[in-house]
Amino acid sequence: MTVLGVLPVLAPPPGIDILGLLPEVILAGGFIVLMMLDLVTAPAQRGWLAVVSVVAVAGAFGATVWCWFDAATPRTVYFGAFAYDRFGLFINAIILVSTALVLMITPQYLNRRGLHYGEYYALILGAATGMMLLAGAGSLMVIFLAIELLSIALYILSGFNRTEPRSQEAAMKYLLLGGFASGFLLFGMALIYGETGHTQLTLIAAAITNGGGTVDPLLMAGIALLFVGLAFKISAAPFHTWTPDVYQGAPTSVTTFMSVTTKVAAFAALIRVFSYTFGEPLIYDRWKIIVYFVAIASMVVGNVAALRQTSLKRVLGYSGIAQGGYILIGVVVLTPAATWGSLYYLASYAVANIGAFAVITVMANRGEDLDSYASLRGLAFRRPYVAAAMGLFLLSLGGFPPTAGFFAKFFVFAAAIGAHELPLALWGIGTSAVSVFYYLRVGLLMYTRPQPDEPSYNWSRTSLSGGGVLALTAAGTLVMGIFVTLVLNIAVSAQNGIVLHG
Amino acid sequence: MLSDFAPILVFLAVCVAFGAGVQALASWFGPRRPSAAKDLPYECGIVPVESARRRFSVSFYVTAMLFIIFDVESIFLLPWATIVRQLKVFGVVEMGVFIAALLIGLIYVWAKGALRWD
Repeated sequence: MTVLGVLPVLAPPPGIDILGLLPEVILAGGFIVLMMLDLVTAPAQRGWLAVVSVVAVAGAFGATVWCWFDAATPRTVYFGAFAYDRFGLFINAIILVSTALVLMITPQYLNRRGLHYGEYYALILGAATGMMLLAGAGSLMVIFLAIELLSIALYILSGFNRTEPRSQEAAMKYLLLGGFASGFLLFGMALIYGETGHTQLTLIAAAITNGGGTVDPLLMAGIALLFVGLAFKISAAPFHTWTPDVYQGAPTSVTTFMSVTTKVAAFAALIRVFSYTFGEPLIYDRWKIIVYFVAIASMVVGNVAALRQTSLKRVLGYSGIAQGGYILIGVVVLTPAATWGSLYYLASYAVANIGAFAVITVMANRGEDLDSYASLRGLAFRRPYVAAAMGLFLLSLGGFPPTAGFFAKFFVFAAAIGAHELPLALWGIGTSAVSVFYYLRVGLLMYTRPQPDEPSYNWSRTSLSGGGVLALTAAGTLVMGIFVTLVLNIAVSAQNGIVLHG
Repeated sequence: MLSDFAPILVFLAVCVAFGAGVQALASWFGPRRPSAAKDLPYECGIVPVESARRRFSVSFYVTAMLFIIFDVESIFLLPWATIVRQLKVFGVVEMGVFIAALLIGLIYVWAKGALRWD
């Protein structure tokens, strides 16, 4: 029984199941409605567009929750092009919650920076739709289309501050490098299709299993190129060079959005394609080397480079690269524990990182973003609650108990040790120790009393919605660190529910 | 699997060989009498009036992008038209949704003034 099945004349042909795409359809509908509303909304009333977009996101979230219970037995829809399973829906939920939080801090920030255009909301919803499609993609073509949908929206959003050269630079860099990465991705897909004769992930997996024990080098080249394309989206070293510049140049509310949701969606595709489609031991042994190297490189490069930054946005950019490295451990290790560990990590990373960037967003004043180390000094004495929340997010990103980040790291490292990948866990623990330096440095700066002769910064007052976002993310960080099983059970169920057969 | 694509490789090889061969034959055997008129850039037979290296109005790009969108729409309509009878009413509705989405895009660019030339 499908949604359109109510009207017999409109009954879709078998194989087409709109229910499987319900959250995405709702969000895409919101995208179109917002585009039309933007035309008839007076500039002063654009805050209402944020309300409409939050309503659309809430509708999609409601649909996701409903689908979660409906998708107890996973299946593919649209002739195998899309996976309707709890794995994708778990990722959908993270993306939608993150999007709603970002939309709540957005209007105030855009007003202060004089950027309040209605297209912003439509583009955010468009990007979120692409990410949700990527999370559920069951075919190489859908992966490509979803990545293009989210990328094109993000290219525009990162250059949204049109008169600011740094924002233009961010958009240009992201566009050129992103286009390059898409080229790698497509070339890889073409080689995989050429070798296996399928674009559907379940059929590719079957073709590899039936391949008869030999591995064609072109298939491995295709897998490697596909990995490069996805590694660019998760900004894993050595494909990370765009990250700090784009994060710094883009408007902070956009950085908040893209730093979390893009990574979450791309990791979903990475886990679905690599851990569950290319899990065949014969080829796993080969691509494992690449992912292994990239995971360690991300941890080392991200954490070491973050030590030398003086802008909080860049620090969080490099910290995001390092966090990507930790989550990649969950891709290298093939056990179920590694997958749900990664899912838990993605959820914990989402709340803490949104919170940390939200602090920068709500502090921004009319003229500038106030993300330099110098401007952070003494924040705790002027805005004690904001500084306390920031401290909590940094502790979570650094992996301290009793925050979400501690258990996220614990699960991933434990999965690595459980699969006899001790070196990976040791690299992770070692680089985490390095990361404590720069997370604590920011924390100490906030709690350092400013010298009397230092210029005082005009941190903006925290609005109700901004304070609400900080409170929600802080609560989420603590809840996931104390009542671990709440989210863990959902993550385990999501891992169990991943669709493996068309 | 890869051997399935051998005809494409052969086709590519023939294309390259034919193109290069014709060029080579023409340059070896063809007479060469250059003149000022022959060296002009070919502009549909019209004598060029000035250098092409100048700034163009950004409106050209916007128009080109809009053209592509509706060009792709018509490309989608062609295969759809061949099976519309099998898709029954559902197929018509689906295409209606697709065209409606494009129409909304057209209304948007129109209202934003992207179709005004000055």
